[in-house]
Amino acid sequence: MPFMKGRAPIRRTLRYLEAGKLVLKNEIKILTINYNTLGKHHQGTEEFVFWYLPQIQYKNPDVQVVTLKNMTPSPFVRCFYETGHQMLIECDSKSKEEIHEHLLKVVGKSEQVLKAEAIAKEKKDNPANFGVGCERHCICEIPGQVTCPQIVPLPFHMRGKYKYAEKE
Amino acid sequence: MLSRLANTKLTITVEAFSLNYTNLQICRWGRKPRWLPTAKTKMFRVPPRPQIPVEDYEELKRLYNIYRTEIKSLKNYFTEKYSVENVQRFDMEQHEKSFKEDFLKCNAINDEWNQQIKVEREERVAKELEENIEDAKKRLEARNERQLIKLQNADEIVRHEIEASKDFITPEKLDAAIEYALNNPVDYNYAIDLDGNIIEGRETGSRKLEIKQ
Repeated sequence: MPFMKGRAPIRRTLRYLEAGKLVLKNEIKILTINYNTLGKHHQGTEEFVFWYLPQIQYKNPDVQVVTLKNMTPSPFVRCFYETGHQMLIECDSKSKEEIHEHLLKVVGKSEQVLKAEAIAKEKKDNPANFGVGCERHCICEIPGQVTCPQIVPLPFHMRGKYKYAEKE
Repeated sequence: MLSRLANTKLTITVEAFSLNYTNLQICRWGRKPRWLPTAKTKMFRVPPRPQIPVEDYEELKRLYNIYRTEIKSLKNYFTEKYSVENVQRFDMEQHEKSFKEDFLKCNAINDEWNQQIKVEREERVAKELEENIEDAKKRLEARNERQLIKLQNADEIVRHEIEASKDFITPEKLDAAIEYALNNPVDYNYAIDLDGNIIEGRETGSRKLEIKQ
């Protein structure tokens, strides 16, 4: 999709997506939203889908989010847990902000949990590690360490050619 | 001691390595190959014991004691910190229990919210139903009215027709009508002369009428 095309293209900007607050709990695997495209009491849910769904999907890439349109008399959100539990949240005549707030309270991770997870994630990334996916690609980027042999040859005593050479 | 250690950052400055030593070819055994025995001239040399003044010895001892204590505590600290026994294992039971507790708590909040919405929704549905009934009633009324007007119009037409039917020629009246028609022939043919007079009739004993100017 081109960047400045369609309705409210701000929904597709990285900054907007990253500003999403709703991070679902680990146990939640599927989120379904039922609403109609017509009717005043469906309006809040429709707007919720329009404005918040991109953020939710961005923040929860492993959750299947399904919208089911024009199949219900009153709008609702249903969460399926991996344990088999379900949670049904009614959204009749509620505004998108109210629904969002309630979802944050009921199915979203609390702020303390998010903070703890962020810290744990940071800790896992030891600054001493190097290689693919780490802060530095090679140990040679640290001053004082041996330079990559592709750039500067290794010292003689580290090279097999000289180390195992037959003495004359 | 441990808390102090934990607070101070163990940092190594890289200034000491500013020169690129990696390019140096270190010649470690330049004097004599390692595998050669002690030189003949040095074979029976006994190096004299180092003479350390008592004060120096005391001072060094004190410093070494401090050093060893610190290193020992550091070792113990890291052993404690990274020992396998102290690493928290993932407790499935505890996890399930906490999940259930959390779920129940959230469910309670959600039930409350759903209950509240249910009340509002039922109120709204009842109101809408009432409005719909009212609307239907109104439409029914309007329809009845329209029907009534239609009926009245039809009645009017029928009445009019009945009124008119008195002059209709029925089989009984046929002879009389024929008689009447034969006795009173009407001729609609007429002519107009230059003065505007209408001269009616052709064969049926024409009348001469003065036309009103």
